[in-house]
Amino acid sequence: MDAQPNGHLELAALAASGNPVARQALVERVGPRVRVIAVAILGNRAEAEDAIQATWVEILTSISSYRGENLTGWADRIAARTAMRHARQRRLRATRMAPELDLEILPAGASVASFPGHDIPRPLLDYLADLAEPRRVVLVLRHVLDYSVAEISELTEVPINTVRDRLLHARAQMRRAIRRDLAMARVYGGRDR
Amino acid sequence: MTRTACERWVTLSDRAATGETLTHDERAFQRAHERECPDCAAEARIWVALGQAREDPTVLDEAAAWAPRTPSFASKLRRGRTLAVIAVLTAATLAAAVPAGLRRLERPARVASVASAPPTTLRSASARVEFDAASATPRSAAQSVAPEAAKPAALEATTRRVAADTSGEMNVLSAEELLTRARSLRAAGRAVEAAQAYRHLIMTWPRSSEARVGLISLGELELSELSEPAAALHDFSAYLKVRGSLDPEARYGRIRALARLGRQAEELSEARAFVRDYPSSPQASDLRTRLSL
Repeated sequence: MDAQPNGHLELAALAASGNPVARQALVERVGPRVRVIAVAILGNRAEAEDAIQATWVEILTSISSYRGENLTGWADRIAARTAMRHARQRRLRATRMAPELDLEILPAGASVASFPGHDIPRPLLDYLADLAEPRRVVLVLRHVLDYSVAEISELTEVPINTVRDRLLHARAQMRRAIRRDLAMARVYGGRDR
Repeated sequence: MTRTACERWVTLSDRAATGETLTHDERAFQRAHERECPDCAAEARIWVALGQAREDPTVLDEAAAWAPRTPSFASKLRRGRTLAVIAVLTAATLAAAVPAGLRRLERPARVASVASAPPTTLRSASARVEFDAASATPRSAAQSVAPEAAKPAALEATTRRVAADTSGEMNVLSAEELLTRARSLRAAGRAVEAAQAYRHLIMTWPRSSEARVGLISLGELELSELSEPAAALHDFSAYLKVRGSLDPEARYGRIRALARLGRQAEELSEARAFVRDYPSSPQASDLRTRLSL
């Protein structure tokens, strides 16, 4: 193993022993990624806070079993699993409240932001929020975390073909939204000027 | 461009996304098509920007991470979210411009000789004017640890350096390109050059949303890589003058900067407020442990 993983192992051991400096270093090293994974998978900053907190509990609980692999990759997986668990719980709550909705097909987020002409161009998080949960998870794992389709299949425990299908549908949905916004911007921008 | 060309681009893009390797010709077609078709180019930028979010969470919040620089989009960008940025950067620039203006009154000939040099391009001219006003922004004031008497010389040196820069490569770059460049430099571990690119972005395009994102990134860089806590403190504070979605990061950055500066009373006070406002955040856990709150 190279020096970097050994450094990670040392950091992990110190953090596991409760060393505040090591814990601070751990927060600084993987904190931004934990945050972005939770926010991107849940599509909502407020809801992501709970997932982030749960991820930190998970990381600090299991840091003693860390064996020296890539630290950020290790933390990424914990963050992704935790965020997906929160997403599933949220979906179950939504299903109980509105069992007639097919959440695989309908957008998960409120569509106010996608009203024609509203606040164009939109931040990336808006487009992610408009995706249904299963599609958003796959899209984030593929494009934000750069996992392969096979890795996503393993992580989400979903067949490869289903992962591929969700990824293509998510991309198609985002593509439609982007192109609609671009068209609206051309119309509204031209009129306003 | 034709509908068929766009459809082919989409098909290839999807194939690549699912893990297929494209041929050289297919990649060449994609690149050529993106130069012709703004919609496909914008979509391509979205997929790239999502990857950048892995290292820079601010990308998720910024339309500028992917939006094309067409006149219609640029006008939307200018009118929309960036109004907040204008407010904070204008305030920061004005705060610094007063002492800078006083110094200019004392030394009118020197500054005028730089500022009146014939511009090579329209953009480089505007960059020079904006930089001249911003050359003594709070961040350079915050960075400066030299006695008052040393400031005119430092100002002159900075002005000369930037005036020279205006004919350089950085000044023909858009805000988006500067941000991308800064991120690349940072990812490559070239912290000093990355910080220069961020500063250049903030001062050259002070009204852009990229500049706002740059404040947080620059602050983190100054704090973690460059050991410039005073400058970092300024940058995080500038961001906090508008309420943004990265407020927790900016406030946590301020607390760490205050700690490095040895301003313990302020650090404690801000840490207590942070823990109160974001009790379940990991930063709050860290602050509780570190400061026994």
